[in-house]
Amino acid sequence: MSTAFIEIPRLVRAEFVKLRTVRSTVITLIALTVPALAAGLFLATRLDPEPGRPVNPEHLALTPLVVAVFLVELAVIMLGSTVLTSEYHSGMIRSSITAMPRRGRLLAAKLLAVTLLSAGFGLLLSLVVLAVSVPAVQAEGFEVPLTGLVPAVVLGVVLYLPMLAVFSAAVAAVVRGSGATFTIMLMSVFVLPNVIGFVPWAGDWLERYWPPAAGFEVVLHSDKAGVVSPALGYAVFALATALLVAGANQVLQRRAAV
Amino acid sequence: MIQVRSLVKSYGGRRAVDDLEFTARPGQVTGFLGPNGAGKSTTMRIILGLERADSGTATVNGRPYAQLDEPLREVGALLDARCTDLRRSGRDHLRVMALMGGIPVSRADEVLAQVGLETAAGKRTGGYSLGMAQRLGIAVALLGDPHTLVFDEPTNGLDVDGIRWIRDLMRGLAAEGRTVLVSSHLMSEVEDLADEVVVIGQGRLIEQSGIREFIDRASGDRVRVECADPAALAIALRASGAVTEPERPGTLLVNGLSRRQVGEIAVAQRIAVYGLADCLVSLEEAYVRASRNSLEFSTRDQEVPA
Repeated sequence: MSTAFIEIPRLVRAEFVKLRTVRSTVITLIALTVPALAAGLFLATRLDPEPGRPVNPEHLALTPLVVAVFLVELAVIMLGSTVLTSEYHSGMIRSSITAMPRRGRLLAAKLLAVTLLSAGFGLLLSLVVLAVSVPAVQAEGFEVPLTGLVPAVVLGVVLYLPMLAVFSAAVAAVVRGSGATFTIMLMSVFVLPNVIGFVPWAGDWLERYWPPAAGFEVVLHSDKAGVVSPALGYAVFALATALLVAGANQVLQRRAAV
Repeated sequence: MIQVRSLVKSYGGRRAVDDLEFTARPGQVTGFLGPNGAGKSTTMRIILGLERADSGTATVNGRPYAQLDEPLREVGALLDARCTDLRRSGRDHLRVMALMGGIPVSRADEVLAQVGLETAAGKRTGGYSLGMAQRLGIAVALLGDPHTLVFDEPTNGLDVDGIRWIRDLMRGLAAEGRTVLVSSHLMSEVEDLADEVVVIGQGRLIEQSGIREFIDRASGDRVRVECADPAALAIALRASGAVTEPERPGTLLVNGLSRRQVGEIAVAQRIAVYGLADCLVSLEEAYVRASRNSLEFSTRDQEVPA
């Protein structure tokens, strides 16, 4: 299958061009990104440690970034799902499949494209927010070590956002409609983590291992009892995503391209 | 070359394509004919790997579409015109398709010029008329300079000039030695275009043959004769077993005798003949007769007690 090494890079480029050449996609992504970035930067300039409590300078510097990442999840969900929903909505999927009848490669290229974009974006967002927040904390007279938690969280952002994008894309590949996909994603990422704990018997377990929430630990590094470790949380999220992708691939292979 | 063998596709128990078998050869325009709902589009979608057959095969140059190494360079397809993102410009759509198909992006502008869409190339395809969308679809089909072309109802939405243009295009492509398969539910559109016809009804093959043979066979021995004394000629012809009917004053339609036989009888009767010609039915009439025959066969089959 050596042709995959030739085909997939050009398919990834095609996905970038597809995203870039639809103005409304670009505008929506910017509209969802700018507030997140603005919120991160705003918080970075207004750090106020609670008086009377011991200050953790790393947490102080990282909080604006975590908030920004939380807010930018919407943009990443939108990016991940749109590479499939827009094609099903417009009928472009038929054109894409005639150009690349090996559907698995088409899906792989789409997932790779959203992975690269959201990883790059996550890195950029981290660097921009920290470039403001770290000096601000230092200006308050605190030392912010750049070897421990800070790079770990940046790595977490660069790992978490692409996985979220791929998760969304896999859901979209199965569901096809943008409305349904968005609803499922909002429920999974923002609503269910807050209510799933109330499920009788299994509530605690579900709250602990609910994949998108567990995955977010790689950004959050909560370090609390009853919460999974970042590595385990991310592994759970990655496993769930892998299963979804496998399912999406099966569906895509079998379904008629209508 | 497109080969369809024993192809079957059902939707919810209804057979859309029923043991279909035909071949579209290089250097010819093959008309794929049948009424709406006969299974033409389904067959074409299976040929292009968009849908899976229940059984049987559809191959292009001996291989199923999904196994072609560079599908856009081997097969160009126009399905329904609306398979583009309406928010993207025509040129960008072509660039995306070129990228996915491994075709130099510079081809986009070449095919745009070929289909006469240069001025609208930068516009969103959502603003295109049906005719423009159809031209864009044809541009996509031509992108990879493929040897096989599949057009599903290509004249939909085109005006007279557009229809003429696309006929010339298809004939030109076939003349270059390419395989051209074109579906239509309008027989008159295909009459002067196709070299070969594949006629289907209810998912089954009714007939595949050269278009002239198809029309000749459906026409039977039917001759129009213009002569000095139609009444006298009619009597003589009937004596030879023909069925005649007057058409215009001075003209007879003769069924059951060839042109040659009619001419010889007229000479024997010493009746002056002014005009004598085979009276061919239109492709449409030929289609109606062929499908009526096949329908009768199929109902008769069912009536035979087991």
